[in-house]
Amino acid sequence: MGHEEPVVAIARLRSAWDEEVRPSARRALFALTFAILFGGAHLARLGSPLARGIAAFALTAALLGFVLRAIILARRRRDLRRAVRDTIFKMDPELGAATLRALTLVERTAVDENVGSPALAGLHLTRLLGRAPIDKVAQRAARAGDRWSRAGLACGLIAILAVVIEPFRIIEGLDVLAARAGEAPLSLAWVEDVEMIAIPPEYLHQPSSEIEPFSPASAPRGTTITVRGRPLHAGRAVVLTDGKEDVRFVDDGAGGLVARWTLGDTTSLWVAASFGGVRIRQADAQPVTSIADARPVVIVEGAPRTVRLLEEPSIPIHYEATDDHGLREIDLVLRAGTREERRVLARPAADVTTDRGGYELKSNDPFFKRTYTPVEVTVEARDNDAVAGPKWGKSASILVILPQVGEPEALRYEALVKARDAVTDLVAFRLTDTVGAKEIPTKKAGAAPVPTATPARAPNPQEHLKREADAQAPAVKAIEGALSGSYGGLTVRGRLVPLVRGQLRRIERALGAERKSPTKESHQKLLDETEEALLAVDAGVRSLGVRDTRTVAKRLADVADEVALAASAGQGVERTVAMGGSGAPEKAGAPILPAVQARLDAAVQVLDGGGTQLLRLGQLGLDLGEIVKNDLRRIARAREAKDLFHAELAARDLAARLRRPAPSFMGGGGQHGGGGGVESGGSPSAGDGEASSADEEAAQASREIEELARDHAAQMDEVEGALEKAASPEEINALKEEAKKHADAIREAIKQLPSQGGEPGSAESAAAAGRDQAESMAGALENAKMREAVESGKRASQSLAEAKRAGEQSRGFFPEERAAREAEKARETIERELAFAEDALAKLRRASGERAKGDLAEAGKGEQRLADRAGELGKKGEKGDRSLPQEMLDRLSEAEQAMRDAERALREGDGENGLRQQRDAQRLLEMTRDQHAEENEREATKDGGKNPAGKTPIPGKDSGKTADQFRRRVLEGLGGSSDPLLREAVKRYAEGLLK
Amino acid sequence: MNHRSLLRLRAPRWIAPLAALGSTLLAAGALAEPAPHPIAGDLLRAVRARDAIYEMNLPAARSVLSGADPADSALAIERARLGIYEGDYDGAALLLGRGDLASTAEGAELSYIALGCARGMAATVEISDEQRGVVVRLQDDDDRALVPMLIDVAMRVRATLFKDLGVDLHKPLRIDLVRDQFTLAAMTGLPEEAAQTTGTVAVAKWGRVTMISPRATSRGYPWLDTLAHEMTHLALAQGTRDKAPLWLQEGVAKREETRWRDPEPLDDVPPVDTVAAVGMARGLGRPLDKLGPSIAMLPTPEQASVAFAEVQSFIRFWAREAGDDALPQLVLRLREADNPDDLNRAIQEVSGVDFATWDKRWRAHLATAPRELPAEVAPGGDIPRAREISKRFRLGELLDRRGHYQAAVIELSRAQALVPGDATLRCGLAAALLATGDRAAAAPLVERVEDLHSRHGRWWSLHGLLFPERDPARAFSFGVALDPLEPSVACEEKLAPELPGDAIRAALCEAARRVPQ
Repeated sequence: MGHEEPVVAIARLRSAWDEEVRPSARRALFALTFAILFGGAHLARLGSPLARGIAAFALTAALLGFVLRAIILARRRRDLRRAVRDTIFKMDPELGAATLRALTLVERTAVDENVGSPALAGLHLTRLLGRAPIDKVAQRAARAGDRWSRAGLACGLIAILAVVIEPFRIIEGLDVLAARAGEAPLSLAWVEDVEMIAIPPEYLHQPSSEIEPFSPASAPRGTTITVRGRPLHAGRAVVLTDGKEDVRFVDDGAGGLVARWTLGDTTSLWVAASFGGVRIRQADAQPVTSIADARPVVIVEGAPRTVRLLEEPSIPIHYEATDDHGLREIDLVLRAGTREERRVLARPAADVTTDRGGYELKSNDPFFKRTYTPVEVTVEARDNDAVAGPKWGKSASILVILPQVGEPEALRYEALVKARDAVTDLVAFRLTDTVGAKEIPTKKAGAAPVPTATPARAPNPQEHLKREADAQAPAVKAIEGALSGSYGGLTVRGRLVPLVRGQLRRIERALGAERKSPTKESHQKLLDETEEALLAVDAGVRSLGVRDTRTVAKRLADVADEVALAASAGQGVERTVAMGGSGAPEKAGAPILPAVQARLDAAVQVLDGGGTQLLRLGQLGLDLGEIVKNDLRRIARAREAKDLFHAELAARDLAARLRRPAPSFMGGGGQHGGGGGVESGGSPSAGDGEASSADEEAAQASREIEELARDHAAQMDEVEGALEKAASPEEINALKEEAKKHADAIREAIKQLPSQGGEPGSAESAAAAGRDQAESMAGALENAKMREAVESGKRASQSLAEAKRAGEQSRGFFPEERAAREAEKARETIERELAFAEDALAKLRRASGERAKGDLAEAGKGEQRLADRAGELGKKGEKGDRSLPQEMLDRLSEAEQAMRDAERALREGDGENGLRQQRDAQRLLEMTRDQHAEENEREATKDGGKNPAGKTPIPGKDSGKTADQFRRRVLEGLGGSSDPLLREAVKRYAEGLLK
Repeated sequence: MNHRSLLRLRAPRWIAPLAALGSTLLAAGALAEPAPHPIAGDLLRAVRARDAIYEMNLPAARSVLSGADPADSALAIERARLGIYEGDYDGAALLLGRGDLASTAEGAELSYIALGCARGMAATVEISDEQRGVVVRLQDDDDRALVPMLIDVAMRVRATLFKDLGVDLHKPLRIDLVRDQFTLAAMTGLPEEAAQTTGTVAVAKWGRVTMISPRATSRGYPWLDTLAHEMTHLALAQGTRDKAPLWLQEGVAKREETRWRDPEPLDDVPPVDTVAAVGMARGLGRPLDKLGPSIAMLPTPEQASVAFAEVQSFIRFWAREAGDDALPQLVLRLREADNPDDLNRAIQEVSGVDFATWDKRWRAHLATAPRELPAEVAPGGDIPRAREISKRFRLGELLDRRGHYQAAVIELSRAQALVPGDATLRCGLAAALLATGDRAAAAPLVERVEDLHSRHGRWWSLHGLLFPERDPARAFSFGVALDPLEPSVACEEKLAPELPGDAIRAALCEAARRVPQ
């Protein structure tokens, strides 16, 4: 090396080094790059976030490394010291160190003259550089280049190997690596020769169809779309996807792949390969429109509407339910506050898409009994959607506004008071009208015109009689109107009806007597009878008012309890009590929760309404109604002070009081008070006694008729027992043998009947009851107990008939239908065997009549006593406060006659005839008793089956439920005929008519 | 006598079955049949507290119980009793809910009362006249119009009792005006059935007067005299430490019930001596010292009437014979009495002879009393043609309501002819006649009080209306004292919207018109 510039010398050394190393290094780095890329692709193909992360990191790190290396190398080329260290220093460290010092000296002399001569320093450096062995540098660089070459070769081999395994994997891997949100950017083909078939859900009963692949299609929701194809790349996890869910293709056993997709919502389907969490789609998309199963549509005639139950005691509900595929169940749903009740109206057979029917919601419906808030009534239908689950369709609602507690009773009471007032007007007329009078207006506006006596006019008996009749007519009409009216579903029943009708007969008879002989005496008699009738009606009405008040009060007690409970619930745990401390144990003043307020408001509102109705129910009602109003003010006062503890106490006080619905004051100086002592005691006031004994007499008559009917039934049993007992052992044994076969026939006939009942009122339940009774019949037959057999047989036949009817109304609900079918079959046998039993019983009785003569004669005496009692009852009912209606008197008289006939037959030993007469008598007694029964024994509502007067719409034959209900109503109405003997016959007749 | 037995002696005998009754009557805090657990604790201190309570010296009782150990059952029971006497029913009920107290007979009895009071008086209106020392609680706030008269009468009765008995009733006097016999029973412990049998309208017990509102009865009752009667019981209880026997309690109360005011014409109608004599002759009477736990618990209203007549007659006789000072002296001596002999001794000391001798003298006196009584007021007698009277009366009512006044007059005339002395029928007929415009025929029916055998508020208001020249204000007051919430009586026969001139009467009239009819 000559005396070149130091910089040039150092550059030459660097250049010699680079010429040997750089090419090899470049090749090695290139190979390394590919090795990382291909390796990363393989790694990324696993699809997991970790694998993809590592691959991405490796690639990025390699790229960054290359760039960094280039920058570092460029800097090193400009750094003379570094060049010295990389070249000279590595060959000859001493020379390298000296060169570096010389270089430092040159740099120092360049900036500081005091250090020395720059020229000398430069010369010194040049000499040192001149001593550097350039060939050695080149040799060393060649060795380094060699190492780079070997590394490059290794990387190259690795990269080649990664490609050679399966070049497509590199593409897949890079595609997966570039994926965003689980979807690779590059679509790749996975299957070919694709076929698609749509299979609708089974419940639709539709055939399958082919879909042209990758063209828009539509199918019912729940359809299974089957996709078949040939795989293009083996070993891939090929899936059918909508981008959210995947269904994996599986081997179809014929070298192809198959996947089944159940259609939910409208979507597009793709074939894709799944790599871990990444899908690489095939480019083709299959759009599928899902046809949803619609919710059933229910239409209720006239809905939405609001009904006041008081004005419409019977709410007809006609509905039509439709569904696109099929209905499963139709329910009537009643909701009030948090209460809900569902009643199955129909369970249509499969595939029925339309159902029509009707239901009659009546004011005496049990749901209304303890409900005081408005009731929302809807009809709801459930479809048969097996895919998304059954859906309910709901009709518009009918909002039923219930009467206030006691409102029907108050209306009834007021109607009866009006009727009583009409009789009062009649008494006023008769008091002031004598034979020969003229009509003058009454003194009170609004009251009926009252003719009054006028001595100035000559007596005119015919005119007087006409006026008497004319005056009586409105009173009779008012009473009949009140008795036949319906008051929010409540009617006038019980002992008041015969009481009032009996009094009407009483004044009719007296008027008839005056007609025959229009004298002052007969007029006076008519007046007396009318006065007594008025007092009797008054006593009956007041008694009803008291009974109704007690009933309503007890109902309101429950509402008061609800107020107490709501107030109690509102107090929570905030009650702070100081033992023995002040009297305010509640943390008064704390805010009351809105939910508690609402509950309290609702109950208080009901209580208030009920209290108002109590005030309309006569003397006791006024008393208790005033208490309700007062206690509501107490509750309000406590609530206003946010003192729920005392609100609860006041409500409990009211509830306790209403549960003892006695007058506020009793005893001592008479029922009205005032005549008593200062603290207690005293004697009754002169006018305080009962003005009429009619109500007590009516109650007594009711009891006596009931007792007579019961005693007579026992007498009948006695006769039957006597006849049975008198049968000879031979007759019994012969009968047993024959009856055994009939018992077997019965058992055979009923073996298909269900042994356990379903819901009450269902065909299954009735059929199960029929089975039990038929088994009893069979048992009785085997033991030759023919009377028991007949009774059980009759009940069994009745139950089975009921099962049949219930089954017919089930509208295809299988268990019900089956029960009805089996019941009908069994009933035929039961009826046949019943006829046998009745016949055998009659024969047995005829045969044993002679032997039982003594017992029968004794029974005849008993029958005579009963006949006397019936006669006595009729006689008592002829006149006075116990006057009974003519119809009842006639029945009692007929019953008495039948008893006397029975008595004669029994005395003569004709047991069979005696029994027949007894049955007639019993039937008549029961009819009389039923008419006289208390209203609390039989709920006094006409809507329990009998429609009030007026036109009844007759539904068409295809109006579904309505027609069924109409049929049932007619059957119940006619079957409930007042004559027990005719009841079944009339029912059968009605069945025939309706068919 | 140990303290425990003393505690038992003090409990009225008839109250024991109430513990069982309470469990059915009360929805809240149902009581189980209490086991007869003895009361434990500081019995001496408890007795001191109880004596102070019976004496109505409530501040003294409070002082005795101050700082008492809450766990001490005997003292806790007295604290509860004090609560009831002070009107702190909630606190008493709460305290008596403790298991250790509820399991004792006395705790159960008090618990029944406290719960009944707490329930009956919850969220009611309390009117307090601190100046005059009267606190009135109204179960029905519409009875507010009665309060001024109640307070006024209470003041007058207090003064009379001080004069007659030497007892100054402690303040405040507590009056609970309840709506019905149901609450009366629940708050006092008197069985409801007993109240309904004898027609009980008021009870003085637990340091207060509990009386039913006149609105509970459809024709009212002598409510102001009743207040005086009950206050007398309180005064006797206070003056004698509740040691006065029943005959003395009731006899003095009957005597005092009219002494706070001027005598009224019907105060002794029918004459008590005659009622007692006739009643005893008919077997309805009982020996004075064998009246049972309470007259209100006698089996029939007739027996209750005769018992009242007996005790009233006896005390009237005794006071007349022994002198006016005898009663205060007797009260004073009874205060220190410890047993029945002390009572007899006290009577002898203040009146010269013992009770048995007085009883004999009184019976001799009764033998001289006239025996004539109208049938309708004679104890145990049947009213002749009662059904006919009731029938005509009811027909008259019905016809009157329908506006058939002439016809009503016919019927009511027939009824009135059968019982001419019955005030109810007289004023019913007079009202019907007035409606027909026949004022002249109506007036004689309500003219002479001497014609009457019974009292009726409306009779007095009609009298005031038809005889304006004969001090109508007095007549209207008599009417209001009998039937304050009958609109015709309260409004002095004025038609709405006209009101009586006096502000208190005007308020009463408005309240009466609000009563549901």
